[in-house]
Amino acid sequence: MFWRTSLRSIDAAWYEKGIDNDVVHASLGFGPALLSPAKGPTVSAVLATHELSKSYGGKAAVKQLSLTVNAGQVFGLLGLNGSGKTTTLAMLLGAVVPDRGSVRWFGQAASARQRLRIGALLEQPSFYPWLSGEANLGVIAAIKQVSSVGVQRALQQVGLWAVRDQAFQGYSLGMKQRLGLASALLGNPEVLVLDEPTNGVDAQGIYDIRAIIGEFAGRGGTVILSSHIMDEVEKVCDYVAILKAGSLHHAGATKSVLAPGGWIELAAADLAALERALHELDAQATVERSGDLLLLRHSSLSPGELNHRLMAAGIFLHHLVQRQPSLESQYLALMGNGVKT
Amino acid sequence: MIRLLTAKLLSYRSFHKFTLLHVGLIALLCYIASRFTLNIQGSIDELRNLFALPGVWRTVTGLSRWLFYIPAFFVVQLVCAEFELKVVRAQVIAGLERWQIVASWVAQNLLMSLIAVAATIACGALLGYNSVASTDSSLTSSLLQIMRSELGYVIYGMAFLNAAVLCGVLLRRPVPAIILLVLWPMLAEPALSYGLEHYGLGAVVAYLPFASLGTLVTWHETSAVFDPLAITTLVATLYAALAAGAAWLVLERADL
Repeated sequence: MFWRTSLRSIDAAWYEKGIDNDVVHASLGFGPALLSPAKGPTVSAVLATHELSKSYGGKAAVKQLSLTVNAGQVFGLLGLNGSGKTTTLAMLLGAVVPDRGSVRWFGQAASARQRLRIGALLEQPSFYPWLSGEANLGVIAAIKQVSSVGVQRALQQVGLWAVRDQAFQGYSLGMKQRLGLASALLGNPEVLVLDEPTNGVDAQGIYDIRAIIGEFAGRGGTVILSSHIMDEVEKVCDYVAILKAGSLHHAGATKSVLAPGGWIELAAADLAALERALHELDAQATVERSGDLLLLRHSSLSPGELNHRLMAAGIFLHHLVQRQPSLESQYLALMGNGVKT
Repeated sequence: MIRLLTAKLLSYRSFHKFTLLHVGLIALLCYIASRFTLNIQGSIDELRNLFALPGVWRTVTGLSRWLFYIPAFFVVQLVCAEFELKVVRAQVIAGLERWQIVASWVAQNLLMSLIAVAATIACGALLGYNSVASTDSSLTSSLLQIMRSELGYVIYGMAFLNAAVLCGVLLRRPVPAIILLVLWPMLAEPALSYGLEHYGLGAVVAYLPFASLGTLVTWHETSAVFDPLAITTLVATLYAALAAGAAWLVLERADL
């Protein structure tokens, strides 16, 4: 998982340099995602939306959404059911006509020509039930002007080559999802747009799909991923945007979104002495007791630095663990549905 | 476009079944009608000559135009299925322009119309082979008759099938779309004609969609014979184009 390591190390580098404060509230408008750092040397915007809006029957589904996704990013789109994720992706992909606003792919107004450079899977895979997996990919290949070799490669990549002649309606949910991913991968797209790609997929399938996404991102491809599975977003995305009731609620590096809720657990033989020392070392941090442990929040010191300074003060720790809340709990807290850590 | 059409239709059994049913019923209807007229005793020459060269193609196309409901039902069913299965959306996302989707449906209609044309040419040739009318039956007049009948027939087919596409795109559900397709020529247009005549606009009636289409393909000589320059031909061709254009306009603004 070289690519994950690379992403983590890049994130860590930003974090060390203090570039961790790009979690910005939606009220800042165009700012947050635009400022998102791109992975690697390329920082050109692959996607830019400007005040994208869509209503259904007078009810706003997406409100003035402005986002920018840079080349090479693995961009997660999060939100509760009905928050506008799928509508947003559908507008990005030309399936839904926006009421207002604009979408630009690769620096140009969105068009069918731009979409040829994008591989996408929106909601459930949509294919002709009576056609085989291979014939269905043949239809998409005809649109994308991909040869039969490309179809074969895509089927092999998602592990459906052995059942290529079987009708789509006979496929299991997981196989359908894999075929959807195969159609997204046809023609070596520059960008993958995936809406809940692991829905209905078994554990092996989830692992395989994540590996495919990872491999794609590792080659420098851009991924826009919508999911409600926080673990998936945490594992795959290096940048997240959170939608709430159709508006951009938060956006930032995944690590940064997670970071504010982190804490350090410490324990020593003399807990009272440890507590005093912590107050002296970091006046801005908050210290609270939790059984035999002290919980240190909002500290500017790293665990290693803390240990070093406490040792110098004559306090020897027998427990030192950095804890991070899951993205799920952090996400719910951000959304105001609070599961506090 | 051809590759897309081939990929979509080659393995589609319903398409094969509807096509076979359409062609089979054209042959069956024409055969039964020809046997019926040949067995008529007496001196109704006009009727007996219906299946004789060179007018046989006019009769065959005139009779089998009613059978265009079969491919029309298929078209409605396929267009609605493509919406319901979200295949249209998948194809737009894959990079197809919306007008290209309508164009692929129109190309499909042309394919089905041409299959029907081939079937009627073959039926006319088989039925008229041993039966020559007393009128001019030279090769030239036969070819002219084929051209007139079949050109009218293909315009009729395209207009009718494009109207089926429009119904499918408008309603996206097969049953309401088929009801709309059937009710227009059977109820709406006659009612409209009655209304127009009532208000002294009877001259317009001939240019209503199915009225003008009806003059293109006719099975008896006393009706208006197809004329490539006739205004109704142009109007019917315009209706075929209008139906496709309207389907494109609706699709262009539709959320998929």
